[in-house]
Amino acid sequence: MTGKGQFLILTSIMMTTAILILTAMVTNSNIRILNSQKITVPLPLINAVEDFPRAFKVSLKLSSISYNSSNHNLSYANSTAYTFINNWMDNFTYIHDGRGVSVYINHFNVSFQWNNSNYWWSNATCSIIIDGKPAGFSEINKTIRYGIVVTDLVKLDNQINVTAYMFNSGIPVKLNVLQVKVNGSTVNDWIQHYYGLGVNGVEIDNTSLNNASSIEILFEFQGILIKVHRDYSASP
Amino acid sequence: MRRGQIYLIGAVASIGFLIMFTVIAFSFLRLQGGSTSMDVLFKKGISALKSMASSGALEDYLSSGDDEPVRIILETILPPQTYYCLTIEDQNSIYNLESFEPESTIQYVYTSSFLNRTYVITLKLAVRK
Repeated sequence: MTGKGQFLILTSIMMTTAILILTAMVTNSNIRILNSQKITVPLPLINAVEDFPRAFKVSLKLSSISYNSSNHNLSYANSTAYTFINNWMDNFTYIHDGRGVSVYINHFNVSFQWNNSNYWWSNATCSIIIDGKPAGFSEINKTIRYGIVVTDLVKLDNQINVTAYMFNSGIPVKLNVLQVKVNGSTVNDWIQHYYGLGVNGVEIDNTSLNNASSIEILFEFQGILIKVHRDYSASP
Repeated sequence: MRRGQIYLIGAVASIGFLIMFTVIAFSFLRLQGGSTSMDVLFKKGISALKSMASSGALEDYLSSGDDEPVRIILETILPPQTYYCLTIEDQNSIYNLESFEPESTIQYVYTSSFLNRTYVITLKLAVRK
């Protein structure tokens, strides 16, 4: 009887252990199946979505600098932007080639309105296609716009006020003044003001603006240049 | 057949099952553990790169050469006991071990707004054995 009892105990312990191991294996398999169903976004997709907007902003910044230095040559400004974006594409393709995600630029354009007008702007528009289909992701076709718009120029006796906002979002912005010209001559004594809601003021000392025939102010926001030019002699 | 023989066969079969289950279970657990640690390392590496880019740590390093914010992010996000080596084109590498065999290598494109340039960043990672 003693031997039979021992066998029974031994068998039941072994069976219990076997069942426990089996349970652990089933649980483990379930976890593996669940993990395999998790969607992992491929690195090239993350990289394109994260970094392209930065590159796009820099391309507009460089383009506006080229536009200013080339006496408003739009072709030169565009080519500066293209060169930068192409360089970004080259780097992107170099490191992510063959990983199932491709990036295409469908449309890219920079635009500047700096001359006599009621609106002045420096902006860029780009249509980008991020094709992740080979990696199991649908195609992302996105149009990105970025830039600054200046409007509502008000000329007072010794001050000029303008309102500035972001081209894409309409968020008011504070501009930095780089250069002021009155009647074609550079003015050195000026003070910059910001009144909130995008209203930027440039107070000019020792020069009355009452009889000014032209005003030109070069502003900067996050490296992007925008020139506001108003010719009063041309007005009726 | 005697009853004793049946018990004996049962016991031997149980031992056989036990050994078989143990072997299979260990192989399952080992496979699972290995792939997870690689996955975690890769994902943490991507998180670290994204954090460096969005927090301005990379911009600080590229503009001033101050690698402290980058190191803090790497040490905070990467699992403990991880060797890392971050290389940015034309810059000094940031690492906690000069030379090691990487288990995971992540390449990332980063555009610096300050320097108006696109850099290729390589982050090599390995778990300390």
